[in-house]
This record gives sequence, C-alpha cells and structure tokens, in this order.
Amino acid sequence: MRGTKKREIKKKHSNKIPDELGLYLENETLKYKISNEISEKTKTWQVLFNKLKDCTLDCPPIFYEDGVNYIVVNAKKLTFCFTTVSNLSPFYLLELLRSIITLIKDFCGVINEQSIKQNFAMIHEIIDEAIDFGFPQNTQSQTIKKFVCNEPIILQKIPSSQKLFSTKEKKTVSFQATNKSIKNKRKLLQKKKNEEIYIDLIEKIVLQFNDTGEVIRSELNGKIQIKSFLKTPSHLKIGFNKLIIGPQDEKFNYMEGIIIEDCNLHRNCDVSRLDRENIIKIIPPEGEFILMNYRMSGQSVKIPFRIFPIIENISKTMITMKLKIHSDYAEHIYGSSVLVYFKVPDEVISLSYTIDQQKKNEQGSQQVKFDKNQRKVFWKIQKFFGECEKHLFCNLILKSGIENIKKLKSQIGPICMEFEIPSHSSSDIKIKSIKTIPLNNLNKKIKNPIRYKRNITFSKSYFMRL
Amino acid sequence: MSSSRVIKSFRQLLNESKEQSRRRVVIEQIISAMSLGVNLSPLFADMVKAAQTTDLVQKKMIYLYICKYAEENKELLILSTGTFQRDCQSQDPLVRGLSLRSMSSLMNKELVEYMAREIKKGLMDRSNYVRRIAVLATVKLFRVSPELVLGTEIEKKLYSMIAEVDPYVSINSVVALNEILASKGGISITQKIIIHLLKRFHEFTHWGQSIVLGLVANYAPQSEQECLQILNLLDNYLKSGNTSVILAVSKVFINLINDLPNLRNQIYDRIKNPLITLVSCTGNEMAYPVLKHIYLIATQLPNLFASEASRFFIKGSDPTYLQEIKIDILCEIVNKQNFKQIIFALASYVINSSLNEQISSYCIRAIGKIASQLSSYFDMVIDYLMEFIELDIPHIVEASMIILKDVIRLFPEQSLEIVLPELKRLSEIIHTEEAKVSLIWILGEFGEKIDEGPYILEKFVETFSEESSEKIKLELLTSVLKMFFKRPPESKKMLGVILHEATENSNEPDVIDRGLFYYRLISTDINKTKSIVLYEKEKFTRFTENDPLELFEILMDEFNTFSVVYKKPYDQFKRILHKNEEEEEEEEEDSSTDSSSFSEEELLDQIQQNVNDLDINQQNQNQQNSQEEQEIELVPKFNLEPSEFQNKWMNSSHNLNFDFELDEELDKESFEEILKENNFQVMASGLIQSTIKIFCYGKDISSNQIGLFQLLITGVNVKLNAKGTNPQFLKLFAEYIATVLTE
Repeated sequence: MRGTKKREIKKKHSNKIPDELGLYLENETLKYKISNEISEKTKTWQVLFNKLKDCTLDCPPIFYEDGVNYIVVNAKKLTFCFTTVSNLSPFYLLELLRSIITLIKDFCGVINEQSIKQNFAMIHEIIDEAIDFGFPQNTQSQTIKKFVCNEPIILQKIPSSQKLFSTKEKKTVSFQATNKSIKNKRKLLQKKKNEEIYIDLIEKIVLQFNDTGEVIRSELNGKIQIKSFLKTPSHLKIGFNKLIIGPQDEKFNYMEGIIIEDCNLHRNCDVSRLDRENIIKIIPPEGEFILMNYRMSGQSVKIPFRIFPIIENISKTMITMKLKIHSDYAEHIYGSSVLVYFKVPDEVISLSYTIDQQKKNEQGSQQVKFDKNQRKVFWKIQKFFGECEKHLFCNLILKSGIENIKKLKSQIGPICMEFEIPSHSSSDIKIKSIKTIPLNNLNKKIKNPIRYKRNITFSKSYFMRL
Repeated sequence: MSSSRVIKSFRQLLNESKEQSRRRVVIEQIISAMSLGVNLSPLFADMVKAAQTTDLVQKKMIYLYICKYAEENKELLILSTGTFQRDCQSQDPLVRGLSLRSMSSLMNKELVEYMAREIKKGLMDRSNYVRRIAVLATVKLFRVSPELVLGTEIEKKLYSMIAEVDPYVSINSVVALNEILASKGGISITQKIIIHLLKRFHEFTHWGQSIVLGLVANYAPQSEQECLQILNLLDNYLKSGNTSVILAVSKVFINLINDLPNLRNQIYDRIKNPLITLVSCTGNEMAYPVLKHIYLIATQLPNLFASEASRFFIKGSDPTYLQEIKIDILCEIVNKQNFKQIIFALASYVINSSLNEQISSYCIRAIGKIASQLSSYFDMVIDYLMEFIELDIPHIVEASMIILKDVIRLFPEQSLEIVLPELKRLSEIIHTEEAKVSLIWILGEFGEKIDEGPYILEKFVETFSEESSEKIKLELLTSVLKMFFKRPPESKKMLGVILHEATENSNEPDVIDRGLFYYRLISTDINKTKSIVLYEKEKFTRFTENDPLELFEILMDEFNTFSVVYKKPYDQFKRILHKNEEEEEEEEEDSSTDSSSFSEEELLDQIQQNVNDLDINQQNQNQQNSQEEQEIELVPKFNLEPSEFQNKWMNSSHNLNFDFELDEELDKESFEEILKENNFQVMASGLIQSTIKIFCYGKDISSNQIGLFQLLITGVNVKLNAKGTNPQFLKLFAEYIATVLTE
C-alpha cells in the first residue's frame, strides 16, 4: 500500500509536515542507508550523489531537484539527509536532522561508519521513537532512553584522528572521554561511582588586521557545551565571572565585566541569577547539549597573536621579508599546531629561510615549507607558548626577467593563521564553579559527581592584509 | 537484488535458533541487511511467525521488518493481524503503542477496519504514550480512507484532545487536524485554541513550539492589545536555543507588522540581533538559510543591517555557498556610510587567490551592481575595475571588462572621461573573448571621441581573418559600421576590408549573413542605414537582470520556508507529477534496486561472522548448502550491442562444449521463441544446409554473470559452445539452457 500513500501525498501540496522524510547515511561510496518506512527511494541516493560529485562549488546544504527538497548535514565524514516535497521551514528540518545526529551520537558513543553499521537496529528504534510518520515527537536522549530496548554495541578502538583537545596537563581528560553512550548498562555496573559532567567552553575567533597592524575586524563566537552523564537528576549551577548580556553601550565600563553582545540559551536554562550572583542554573538533560551560544566583537575580544610583517626589499631577483609573531596570553599555556601561511607571487621559484630557535629544547618544533603548486609558504609551529615571539626571515627567489616590480608587491599575502589554544578563552569568560545539587535531597549519600571543565580558543580565519 | 542465498541462510537460522538471545542476534542481522539495501521480502512469512514473541526487543525489530515489506506481501499481511490485535491488548503501554504505530503504518486498505477499531480504542487509552500514537495514527487512517475520519467522531475527539494535559498528545492533535483538514486550509484557528496553546507554550518541545508558532503566524489577532500581548509573550523565545523556534517567532513578528505598522522598525530591530547571532554561532549548514533570510529582509529594509556590514564579510573558512550569499547581502545593505568598507572588502576578495574563480567574478559583478545603486561613487568603482584589468588574470579581466561596459552604459558622460584615455592600453592587454567583445562594443559606441579610436578598431580588423571567435567577429562588424558613420574618412577603408572579409572569407553563416545584410543596407540607402545603426538609446537606471521587486514581496509571505532559500516562490519548484511519470518512477525504483552495489559474498560473510560466535560448524554447512542449490534466473531485458558481443566472444577466458539431445525436432523460429521466453537474447541465427546456427546470450540476476552461447542444431542433436568468465558458472548456464530446450 505504500504506492497509494505516495500518490496521496503528491496530490496535496499544502502539507505542513515532512511527509516524505527519510534519513540517509552514507560514507564516501554512498553505500549505506537507513530510512524510515515512509520513504525508500534509491533515487534520492543518485540525486544526492550526483549533486555532491558535480558541484564545482561546495554543495549547499539545502537544494531541490525535481520538486524534492534535500537537506544535507555532514558530520564526521558521514552525510545525513532528509527529503521532503512540502515547502517547510528549512530550520525546522535542519534542527531535526541535527537532533537525530546528536541522538545517534548519544546512544552509540561516537558517530562513524562502523558504529552506525553495528547499531542499525538500535538506530531504527531511536528514529521510530523520535519521528512518527514524519512528525517529530521527542528528540531528547533522556526521554527516548526509556523506549529504546536494544543495547548499543560500543566500538572499542577510537581513532586518534578525533582528538581535538591535546592537553597533557593534569586533571584533564582527553576529548575522547565523552565518546561514550548514555545507555550502557555494563559500564554502569562496573563503575557505580562514576557520575560525570563535562563543561566545555569553545571559542572561535575571526580577526583581521589591516596593513598597519590595526585590528579592523574582530569577532568571537563562543559556545558552552555540556555533556552530562549524571544518573541522578540534579540541579547544575555554573558560576562565572561577571557577564553582562546586552547590546554594547558606550555607558558600560569595560572594567565592570565581560560584555556579551547577544546570546541564545538552552530552554531549561535559568539566567535570573546571572545579574547578581553570576550563576546560570539548569537541570541538565542527559547527553550532549549546548547551554549557550554567544557572540562578542570589538575590544572585548582579546587578541592572542599579533603579526608584524616587514617586506624589506623587492628586487628583480629576490624578495626579502621578515615575519614576527607575538603571542599574547599566559606564559604557561601554549597554542598547538599553529600554522602561519601566506601567498607569494607566481614568479617565486624557491625559498631560503632562517628561523630563530629561542630555546634549545624547542628545536624541531618548527617547520617551514614552500608549496610550489599553491604558491604558498607554510610555517608550522608545534608549540607556541604565551608571551613570546617567533621570527621567520625569508628570501623569496624570483625567476629572471621580471619587469613589473609594483605588481609583485600586490601579490604577496594575505598572511593567515590557524591555531588552537587549549585552556585559553579569548573572551576572558571563566567558569569559576560547578555545583550539582540532587533534585531529591533525601538521598544524601550520593557523592559529588566528577566535574570537568575545559576551554579552548581556536581560529581558522585570522589574517592580515598587506 | 534477489539474494536467494542470503534468504535461505537467514531462514534456516531463524528456524534453528530457539534461544531468545540467539534469535535476537539473528533478527538484528536481518535488520542490518535490510538497512544495507538487501531485499529480504521473501522472509515475510517467517518473520510474521516470529512476531509472536514476548521479547520486546525482537518484537520491535520484527514490526520494523513487517512495515517495510508489507506492500510486497499483501496476501500474507492478514496473518499478522492476529499478533497486532493481541499486542494492542497488552498490559505494557510500550507494546500497545508499538503495535498501534506499526499496524497503522501498514496503511493497508484490507486492514482498515481493524485499524479504525484499534485507533478508536487507542484514543481512549489510559497511557498518554499510546494516546499520542493513536492521534497520529488517525492521519495514517485518513490517508487510506478519508471517509472514516473526516466529519466523524474521530475529528471531534481530536479537537477535544488539544486540551489534554500531556503536551505531546495536545501537539499531535493539532498536527493531525492540520493534516486531515489540509484541503480545507488546515485546522480552524480560533482565539480560544491560540490562547490555550500560547498559555502552555513553554511545555512543548521545540518542534511543538514551531508548530504552534506556525498557527499563530496565520492567526489574525482581534485587537491591537492582543497583538502586543503576543509580541511580549514570544519575545523571550527569540533567545531560544533552537533556530527553528527563533525563525518561527520572526515570522509571527513580521506578520504582526501588518496590524502594527507604526512598530515596524522596532519589530525588525528585535529580530535583527538574534539572526546575526545565528549566522556566526550555528555552523555553516544553518548559517546558509539564515543568511538567505537576512538577505530577504535586507531587500525590504536595507538600512537595518547596514551598520553590521562586517558581519557579512567572507571568512577564510566559509564554503562557497556562504560566500555567494554574503556578497549578495553586502550589495543590498550598502549605503553612503559603509560604502568604502564594503567596496574595499569586495575588491580584496577579487584579488584574493585563495577564493574560487567563480567567486571572484561574482565579486566583480557585485561591485558593478553597487555602482548602479550608488551613482555618486562610480568613479571609485571604475578605478577598481581598471586595477583588476591590469592584474592580467584571465577570469578577472573578463568579468571586469563586462562590468566596465555596463557602468559606462549607466553613466556614459562621467565614466568615459576616465575610461577613454585608457582604451588603447586596454586593447593591448586584453586577450579573452568576452572582454574583447565588451571593449569592441565600447569602441563602436564611444570610440569616435578619442583620436586614435578608429585606429584601435583597425588593429582588430587586421586580424579579423585569423579570429576564431564568432562573437568577436559579429561585434566587430557592428562597431566598424558605427564608426564609419561617425568618422567616415578614417573608417572607410576599414569598412571595405571587413565587409569583404566577412562575406567572402568567413566560414560562419551568421557572420556572412550580417556582412551581407550591412552591405545591402548601405548600398540601398546610406542615410537610412545611419539612422538604424546609430539609433537614439534610451537612458536606463536599472538592469533587467536585477530581480523584480514583486518577487521579494511574495517571498516575504513565504518567510521561513524553502522559497526564501531558493529565491523562488513555491509554485516554481513544487513537485508536479503526472500519472505516467508516477508509474515510470516506480519502475525506475525497481531497476535501481537491482543495481545496488552490494556484493553478496561480502554480506554473507558479515552476517555469518556475526552469528558465528554461536555455532561455527553449522555455519559452514549452511554455506555449502546454499552454494549447491544455486539456480539460474536471467535478467529480463538485458541487452548487448553486437560489437560488445563480438568482443566478449573473442576475449572470454573460458570455453565449454556441451552436447545434448532434444526430445523432438524443432525449427529455427521455435528455437528462438523458446530462448526468448526464457530471457535469453538472440544475437544472430541462420540456416547452413540442415544445421541451425544460433548465437545468443543471457545474464544471471543474482550473480551478474554473463554467458555467451553458440548453438549448432542438427536434427535432435545439439552442440553447445558456451563462453564466459567463470568456468563453474558456465557449467550451470549450459545445464540451464539444456533444460530449457529439452522441456
């Protein structure tokens, strides 16, 4: 009778629900799929595959083909896709698709081809509970858990490529620590005591300098992400330093606190005590969720690196330039995998360089490479400690017979940087305290759960025009 | 893919596994294989039998299977109703819910009475989990037989269920009614319902909230006070953690503007900040539709986002789809204050070589567009364009020249002062086709104003015969003619040359045509020609390429839908299918399942590996059995080109000769008929003396093996020569063909 259903759907276009909604998972070869029983179209595959293959530009996350709307989200090398013929809110579907991904992640521990393949039956169950006949029901891991019967098969080995936080300091755990399922009875029996909660402060900055080193654009987008493995329902109180949420106003004194321009909050989150006590309260649902997204700009953003380029000489045979990078954060922390790169003119044929090694034990932690095809010079610094300077002197050797020296100069740059700085927040937001109070006070025997806080600042768009 | 081996081994496993834990593993494997795209439909009867388990885990998986293959096994479906009905009486609400949900998902006309009965019971169930499933089941029932729902007690019951305490039941009732009454414009929205839903708004999930907001957006408040109340209530939700809710609130706000026109700017101001936050905080996928919506708002209120221009600058990590829409937004929000900032940013993208070529051309077009909006700054735009042209990078020169031409068309007097002195130099550095066409057009239109104008054109005329581009030739012809009427002494000779070249020595019909046309025109009436060629052009201020303003008004009505993302009203992209297409589509589906790229071996291995832990020996036996019992079935419309056939025949690695006898003598035609009936394709046939010679071929469905055959038939004796890549398989094939012919 599926056929009848389909025809029904086609006759009416006024539907307000995702009436044809399938979830497709794929790896590079587009081999696997999960779909709920409503839509089972191999055609979807072909369309999606062709689109991903044929796009000369990046494939947009929302597109239509032959009257069918496709919503595509990528997560960890897998592509998830919804289709619908109705003219719905794209946000509704994107959020729904993301919730499904989060659900799968919460239940399987990690999302990758292997874990999905091993847990097909459970994923079907989850989707069945989360979406009934195309109508989203409940997408919270905690509530769905009651209805899911299959036990997850947890992958033993976790590929090292998933590392994001590369700290080795004490009292920290690796990022993989959160790669576990919220539904794993066996583990629970083994370690009864372990109630854990992870609070991550993740900040992404976008910064642009002009040629004199002035900041012409600075933006910070941050999120506070929580992953809760608390088995006892509890209140969570997170204490911050002074935060002021609201539009930037001349009257505010920057000394008073950190000014957040705008933010959005998790629905359960209570900010009524933020003004006076700097506390955000929430009853954390199980699994992963975002407590708050926030953004700020201008002076509130602390600048971790300053770039000082000097083009010393441009002759018909060589360009000599000096590059200095100064780090501006606490001495004991360091930026990891700092990458500096800049484009050079097409006429450059080779590069000679010197880097100064400040301390002996740092030798080998810096690398300079000239990529002929991309016409870019890459300078990689493994560990970039705070409050220090790194220098690069380079001679760019040109091929002979160059006339237009003026043109050469316009072809150098911009100088771009990519980096991660663990344990640093460019906004200066600090989590000062994390407290959990069980909802049910009678049960006082429960130990305090283990609480982890981690922060990281990173950027993929940090550059200076010359 | 009919995978008889896989099915056989599954069936055996199902029958042999008695232990619950073991059955679970087997069923899990079946679901896995199903998810991987293997057609397991033939197992239907076995699975229905297995459904009578008390183990919820198994039951869930089996129901999933039944729903998936119900359509192909309609006649067997009736077997399952007993189980469904029994489960609907279960003590456990989970089982009741599951059973109701699965049964209603079958959407089978034959089962409609059972369905209706259980749904009615479900709507009264004491568990709200079952009730909410029953509510949605009414929609499924409606799809099968609308008359059982529309205007019946079910519809009334649904209205009353909106008031239920459980938020899921309440929202599902709204959704269900909306769906059932879609042809009448959805659920009838009364003030009472809206107030009720808004009062308990915080209880609903994000999805529920989005649905309620969808209703509120279509609701017309009865007084200004009510409008304000709704505004105040929903204002908090602009800070929601869910994008869908934020945009749905925005839509409500925008719709309320019609009732509160004096608050227009304040309302948009409220929406502005949350939208900007979403752009930067939610990841690329979400940022894309958000930016599309910002763009739409910007077309209505350009100044709203003007002070935030830097938010829409391109980041190095942006995918191209974000880059494009950001450039579009910058074009809309440009004003006198941020003009320099935006133009500078766009110019830097043009020369930024890490961006895609298409994007840098797009930026140049954007710069031209800005010039058309802010006429007072056109000189700065021209400066940039000239600078780009000097970079001598093909795609940039190309795009810049075209835009330069457009800017000149817009502001001829002012811009020509800057451009004309440069024309000679430009003519020397330009190499690409479109750029040349633009330059030649400028020369034809305005070239007479500079002394060397005709001479620059002459340079092009000299190389006319070597020119390979038809576009350039055509443009040159027209431009030379224009020049001739403006500067006759210098151009007379040139015109003669080009007309001669065009009419005598060209290969392109269009060029010859236009050359002849001009020639005849001039020889008929030279003054008339002049008035035709140098007609007075109307001044214009807006390019027709720009989007019509009415479009954006329609899109504002369709705010928070796909329309905004595609920049097209729904009518232009909605699905229209005709009857024939539907059938075709279904056929396509079938054939594409065949081409599923699964190797059966791989799958079998995997399944067996997983079940293996339980019993190794038995597994091996299974495998052997299944291999022995392999049968051949041919693909119905498999077709080979004669050349392919010949190629395969010559290059096949294995050869098999096989002789057999027929029961009775047959003629050539009946042989061909028998072969065709069994899906063999006859490539060629002939009669040599009394021997019939037939070349034919076939492809096996399950293994994709191809076999090629030559049959030599004399009386009842048949000599078969088979060729293929797999020796074992050839033998099977040969046996098969023998049975076909002897029967």
